[in-house]
Amino acid sequence: MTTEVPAAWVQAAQQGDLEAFNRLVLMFQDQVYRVAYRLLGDPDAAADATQDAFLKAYRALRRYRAGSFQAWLLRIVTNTCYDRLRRQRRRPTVSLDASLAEGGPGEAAAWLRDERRSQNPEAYAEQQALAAALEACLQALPPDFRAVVVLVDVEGLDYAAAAQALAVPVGTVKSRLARARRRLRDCLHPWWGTEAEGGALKK
Amino acid sequence: MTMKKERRLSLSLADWERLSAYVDEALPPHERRLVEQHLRQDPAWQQAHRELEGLRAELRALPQPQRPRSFVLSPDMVAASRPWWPPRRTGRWAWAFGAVLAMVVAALAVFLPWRGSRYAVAPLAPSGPVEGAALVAKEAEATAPEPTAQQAAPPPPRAMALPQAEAVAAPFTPTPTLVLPRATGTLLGSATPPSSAVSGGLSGRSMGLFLVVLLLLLSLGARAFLRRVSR
Repeated sequence: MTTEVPAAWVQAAQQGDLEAFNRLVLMFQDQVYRVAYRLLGDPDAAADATQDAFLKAYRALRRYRAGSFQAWLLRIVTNTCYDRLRRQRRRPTVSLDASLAEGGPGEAAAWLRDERRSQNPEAYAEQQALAAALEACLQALPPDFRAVVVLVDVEGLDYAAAAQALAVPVGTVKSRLARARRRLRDCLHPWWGTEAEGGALKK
Repeated sequence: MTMKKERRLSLSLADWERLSAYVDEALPPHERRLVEQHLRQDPAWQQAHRELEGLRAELRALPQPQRPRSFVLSPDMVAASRPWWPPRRTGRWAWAFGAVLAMVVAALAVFLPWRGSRYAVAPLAPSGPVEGAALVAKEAEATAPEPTAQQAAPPPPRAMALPQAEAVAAPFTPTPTLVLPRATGTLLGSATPPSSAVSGGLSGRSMGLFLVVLLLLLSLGARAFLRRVSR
């Protein structure tokens, strides 16, 4: 799903019109936050990265020329997240302890959208367990692989938009996505095994 | 048991990649037809197809995190952030640019005066006794040709010239003990060039070369700088 942006907004924002830029922020902040959250796996870090990315985008606006504004913005977010991940890796104990103390994805799930809960509690529980497993598998992927899965499979971008957002050729998106999906399948394999007949494979 | 069976049915990575692009409808028509042919006949392809579709559905159905707040920028945030110019990414180039500029200015300041008059540095020196030292330097110069003329001789003449000049300087300076170091400094400054730049042609040429290299560096830096900015 690629979202088109009125060119006039971008132009006004490029001339320093903060109101116009904030209209773009409103348009994309949900998606930008979601991507940051998926890439970083932590709500606070994701919020910081999102704010950071919008500030960076505002400052770099004059360098935006043509093409999809959304892809340009997503590129700034992914780069911001990559930077954070790199910094995290340099002192991994801190972030790991912090995420463990907060309960990691499990706690995050508490404030996730849960409209399905009321309909069928059993199926909901099952679905939640699978979602948690999938989240864990997603976080276990290398950042490059994770990013392409997040953009294409979770956010629904097409290959061309993902390629623009990641600054790689379309062929790279294609192969990275295939490898990432394969890893995810292998990671979920035990899980699918137990409900292979009725679960994800029933289709 | 089922897992064992599934493992055996695994596709090669190339086939998996093709199938992965197929479910995204990102294959050209002829490849697409090939994949569809496989899917009609081959259980391994069928299973992989189910896995891919299932995985995609699960990923799309992941609970979406709710953003905790609005990320709209306030004028304060924008003002508190750095100004539009220079952009952060060009900062490094701006520094390089400044450094090269400083080098050029320094080079001009050091070398240019020697072109016109060899002792043009003297007026820059503080005053009083040092001016005397400049005079002394001329005296030293008068005596200097002796060692410089023997430049081909094994012992380095400059090292010899200095003590000699100092010796000459001492009697001429009004307050020898205090001023001597400074005077020697001036002497050093004025005594050095004659040895390296005695033949003005050579020094002019090497200095010109130096300036050309500097200008080249400068223009390269400026070009990279401008390209970065305009990107």
